[in-house]
Amino acid sequence: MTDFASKADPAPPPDNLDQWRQLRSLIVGPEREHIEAVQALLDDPVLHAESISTALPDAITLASERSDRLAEALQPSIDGALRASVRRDPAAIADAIFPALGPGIRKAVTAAITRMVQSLNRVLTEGLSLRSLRWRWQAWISHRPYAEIVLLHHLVYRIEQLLLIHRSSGILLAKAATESTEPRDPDQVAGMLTAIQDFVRDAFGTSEGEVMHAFETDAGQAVWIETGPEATLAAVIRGTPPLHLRAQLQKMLEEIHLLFRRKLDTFDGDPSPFRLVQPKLEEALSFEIRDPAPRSRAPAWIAASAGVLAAVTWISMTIGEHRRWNHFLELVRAEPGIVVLEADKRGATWELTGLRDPISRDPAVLLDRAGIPREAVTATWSTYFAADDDLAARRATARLHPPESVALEVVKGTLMLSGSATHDWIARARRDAGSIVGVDAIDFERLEDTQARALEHVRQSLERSVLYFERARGQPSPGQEDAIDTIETLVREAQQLSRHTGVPLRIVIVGHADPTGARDFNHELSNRRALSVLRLLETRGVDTTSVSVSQAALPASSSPSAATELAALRKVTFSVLLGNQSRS
Amino acid sequence: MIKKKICLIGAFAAGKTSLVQRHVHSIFSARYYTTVGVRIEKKQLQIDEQDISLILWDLHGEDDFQSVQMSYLKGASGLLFVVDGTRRGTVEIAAKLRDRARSAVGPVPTVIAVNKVDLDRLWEIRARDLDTLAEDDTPLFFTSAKTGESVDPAFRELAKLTLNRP
Ligand SMILES: Nc1nc2c(ncn2[C@@H]2O[C@H](COP(=O)(O)OP(=O)(O)O)[C@@H](O)[C@H]2O)c(=O)[nH]1
Ligand SMILES: [Mg+2]
Repeated sequence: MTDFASKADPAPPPDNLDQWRQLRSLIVGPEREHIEAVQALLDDPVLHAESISTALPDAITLASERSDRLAEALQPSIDGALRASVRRDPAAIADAIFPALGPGIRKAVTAAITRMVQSLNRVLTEGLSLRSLRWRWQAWISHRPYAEIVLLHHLVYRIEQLLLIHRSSGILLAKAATESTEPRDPDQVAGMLTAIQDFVRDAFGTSEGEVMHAFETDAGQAVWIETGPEATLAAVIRGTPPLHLRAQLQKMLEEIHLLFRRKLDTFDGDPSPFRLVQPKLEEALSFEIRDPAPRSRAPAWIAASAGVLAAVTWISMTIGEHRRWNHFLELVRAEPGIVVLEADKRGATWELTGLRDPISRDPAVLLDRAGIPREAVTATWSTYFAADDDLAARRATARLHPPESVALEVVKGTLMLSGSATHDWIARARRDAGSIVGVDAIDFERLEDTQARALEHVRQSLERSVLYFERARGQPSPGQEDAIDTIETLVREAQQLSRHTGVPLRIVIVGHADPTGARDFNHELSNRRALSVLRLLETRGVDTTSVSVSQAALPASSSPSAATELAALRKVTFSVLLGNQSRS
Repeated sequence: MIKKKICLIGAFAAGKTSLVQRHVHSIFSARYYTTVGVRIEKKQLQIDEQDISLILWDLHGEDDFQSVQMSYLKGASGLLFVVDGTRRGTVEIAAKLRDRARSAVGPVPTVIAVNKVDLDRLWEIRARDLDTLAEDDTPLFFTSAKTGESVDPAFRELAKLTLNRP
């Protein structure tokens, strides 16, 4: 059996108890008080916490400097806490880290894209060595730098509209659009975009955080949507945008969130504070770009293995077939708006992949020409917009429908129109030309506005017209009906052309008198003559708001003149002011 | 220019689209309406010198086949409930939708339009039928999308209510 008592502390002898206590308090008294204080500290959670809190920061710093153990030890608790918080309200955390999240994600995405671009570059340099030679040749014969030729052949895109939309209500906060593409009612478009997003989310059961990122319109535009916690940025894009554009849009939206967090939070229908975003959006519109050209050179081993592959392929087909195929490839590669990326034989069929501008010629026609049956080839084309002048001209023709009197060409990205056309057509062409891919500038110098020309003719005719008067009479002398008819027609025509062309017009009826008689009387007579013609036009139903009257200076009365000469001075003439003149 | 999102809610064929289309013309094709279940229109008003744009969300009606998507209500500043005066059952549908809408967006300014008031011979609704729907302070309008009667006043009242909200 074990004797418990023998393990306990020896009890002090009873008779010495007091002495013992005294002795103990003498020896360990101060320490004892100290220990009690420490004990109290440990027992009282408030005091305990307080004392630890002062030491904790230093302790953590020290601990982290020494090793990772603290981080490791804390990790499960922090994970747990975050998980609990996210479970309770995922939006709070997501919103909090949204501005910070972007850069990190972008970094990862950029890395991924860079990798992808590199591999694409490889494909391009491998598959297109022929094409790049052709470009070098083009560069040489056209005395243009190679880089420029590569650029000219490159993809273009253009952001036509940017809408900043309040996320929950779908109300438009700010917008920017290229002149020609102003949406019909941006408020409605913004609402509808929001509704469609909601619809997609509900229909496909995606969660709150996941939203639609892009869709295409019937008109061949892409709509890219970036969604933040409080606002959505929608970009309407024509052409083939590069992926890094996505990152730019994200960045813009994050900045907007940082700057306008409070305004977005408390938004109650007043979009005026967001006017400040406008310049930012407008700036973004202007980045209409040709994507940088692939430049990297394929490593030697790739070239070598491509050579081996080519040899194997070559052996496996008959010489005639090979020749026809090569001929076809030559044709396709010479065709503007078609870029062949890969051409391979798979079993009995050829497989062709590449990029094709919708306006380019149907490659099937080239197959016919090369004598290759259409069914022997399967082709996969992705859409792109080539910046070739030829194609831009074709696109411009399809878009603008120029009348036969207009000659259209595109030279180094400038759309040049010559000949003549109606005012409306010219105005429309001016408006639409800006959004044609491959057209960077317009030159309408040599294009004549037929209505403006007609207006000029009318002006000259009217200024040659004269009505004559008897002596001292304010009404035109009889027998001038035809002349009055002509004048009425000319005035009406001038007004109509002015309305149509938007060229301001003012017609001045100028009264004249001969120098015989009193000066004041003649002055008044001139005025009366002009007014009577004005009344005449009015009674014929002519709108005279753009018509005014004045008198000519009286001729000198010194030399006595022949009666016919005097008669020629009693008249009314017309002066026609166009454009800015008409206002003065 | 203040802009407010307003949702039109009610039974199928109560006249929501007709009420909206009296003054505005849609830029969207009917296809969106049936597939997406909503069409957005705009109406501009002036209330006490204040320009206001109502962005009207015309929600496809409630019937056996198509139920109103409550997610379309978020961010709404006002609700217009439309009842068909010639069909008593539409009151109950509106009341049900009102309860659902409340739980989706909370208390927002509300106006009720009892529509098709021009069809007096087919009129079915009595005052007490409306008790379930109309609370004391909810403005009630007897409208006709056909003649235009009380249509503008209904929208104006709703616009006013959304502006006065603190
Ligand atoms: N007589 C009359 N008919 C109406 C009125 N409002 C709507 N309607 C008709 O009722 C039908 C359904 O209207 P609609 O606006 O499509 O209803 P919604 O489903 O609520 O959008 C249509 O045939 C309309 O012409 C009204 O005030 N008077
Ligand atoms: Mg409807």
